[in-house]
Amino acid sequence: MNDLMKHVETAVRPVKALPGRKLQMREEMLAHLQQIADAQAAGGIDSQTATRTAISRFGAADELARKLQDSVPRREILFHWMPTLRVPGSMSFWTVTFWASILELLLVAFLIGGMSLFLDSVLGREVIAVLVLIALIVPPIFLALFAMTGAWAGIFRHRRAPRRIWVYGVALAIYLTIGGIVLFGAEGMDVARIVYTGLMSIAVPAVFSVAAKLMSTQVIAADNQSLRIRQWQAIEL
Amino acid sequence: MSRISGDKLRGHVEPLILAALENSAAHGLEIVKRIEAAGSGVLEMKEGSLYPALYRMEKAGLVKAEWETGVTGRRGARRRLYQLTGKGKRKLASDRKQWKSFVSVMNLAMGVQA
Repeated sequence: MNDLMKHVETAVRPVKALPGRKLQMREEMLAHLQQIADAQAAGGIDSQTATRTAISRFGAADELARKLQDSVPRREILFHWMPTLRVPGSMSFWTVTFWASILELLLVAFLIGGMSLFLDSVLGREVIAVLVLIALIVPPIFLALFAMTGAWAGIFRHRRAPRRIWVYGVALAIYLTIGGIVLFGAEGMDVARIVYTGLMSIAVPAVFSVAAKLMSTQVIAADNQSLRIRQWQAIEL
Repeated sequence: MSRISGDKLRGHVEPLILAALENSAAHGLEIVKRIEAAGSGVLEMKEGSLYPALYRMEKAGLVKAEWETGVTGRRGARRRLYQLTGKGKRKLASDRKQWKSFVSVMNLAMGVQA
């Protein structure tokens, strides 16, 4: 098995392609080699000879690497080194990306907000008001979505806790309700605004919990893929 | 009859794969077996070279592939099942015509009685 994996890895590692494609190459070619070796072993041949026969039938790794490279689309060869494309959405990547986006959003908000301080106009004050609103609304909402996804996927302490969805959902609903009251003012809460705030407080967490479930499936799949890629990359050639 | 392999097969691998997939989908090893059986055991290809050809053909839309699912009765890594697309079927028909024409011209040129 190890020799078969090593042969596959010798052929695939030099190929310039996205990790997902390389993993597909590795798994598919390993399955082929295993089948040859298993068939040989079933015929009474010892495992070492079976492995050697499989490798010999498969062909030289360097020639295979060259042919595999020719099968990769040119645009993928050009961009395969880009970090966002190289890391196929592992949980750590997911976490870093999330917090980096929040930080970036806040920095941009405060940068533009700071600049608007120098604008002695109504527009300047309005810009600040909008940015403060964005800073108050966006991070908690993203955080809730992230927390829900984390609960489904088991990001936190690598443990899946789908029931936490309820906790995060209720917390988000309370936040949105309070936000609605603050936004409209206690005196301005007429029937229409109460209904609107109530509906939003229920609808947003409900939609988020469904989105979180869908996203968690992607996160789990991406993380499994990352794990398999790391196992292959750990092979010493 | 001496075996046909290596350089002699170069350029013919893709049409052979198309023909092997004509009747039903298959994974890599099965494709190799079908090609060897169709060639009465005379055609011999390095099995690894099948995959770059399959990937090129997939990129060109001649075949489509999906990972095998369900119980396969075997252990180990997953396999992908390849099948011809409409474009692949048309390419196979066109390759066959070209091949017939090529063989008849070569027969004439080399003085071989058909």
